[in-house]
Amino acid sequence: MISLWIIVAILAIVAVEVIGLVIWRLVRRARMNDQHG
Amino acid sequence: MNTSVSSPNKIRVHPQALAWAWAGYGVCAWALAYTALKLYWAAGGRALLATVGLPEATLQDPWFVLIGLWGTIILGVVAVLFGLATVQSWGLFIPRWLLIADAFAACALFTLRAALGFVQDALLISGIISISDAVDRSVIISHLLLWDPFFLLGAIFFGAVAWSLWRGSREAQR
Repeated sequence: MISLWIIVAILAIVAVEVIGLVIWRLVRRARMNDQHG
Repeated sequence: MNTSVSSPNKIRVHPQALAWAWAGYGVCAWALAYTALKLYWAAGGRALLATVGLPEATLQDPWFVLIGLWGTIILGVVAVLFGLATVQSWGLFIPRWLLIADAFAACALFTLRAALGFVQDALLISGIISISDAVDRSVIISHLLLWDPFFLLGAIFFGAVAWSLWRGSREAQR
């Protein structure tokens, strides 16, 4: 059961990373679009 | 992959990054093998399952199927993409520090898994820790000869990727 919780924890970290990366890219793209009018 | 922009439309690849590309492809191949096997077990295949030593009741447990099989398949796919991201140009969209941190974390995790496995299985095989009659001795031998080295190999590939990315980012700063 411990190993299953470790997998759940790693899945949660990966999900946070992927969502964070997508948001960061979208925000960066929006800022660049603003700068270039 | 250590790269630097030399002109607006041209990306120059650092020669050392090419020399370390085997590490990224190694992570990719290692994760692909792991994911394919888990996918095969999730689809009902039973080859090599005896080497893990899981009881049939565990295999029928929906939580094990959801997390232990499908959860690890997702992580395996992520690891395949991670390996490719370190050697393909589209990987430049991911911040280097994130790739380095993940590679070091994966290396540490698999090193720990392999080390604990080797120590525990060696103690069981040598008789220092007594094995109950319910435990199949061949399962411990397969762990010692197959799964512990497999996770060690994963640790080596992730460690090599972490080292090459870290060194590349340091040299890019100079």
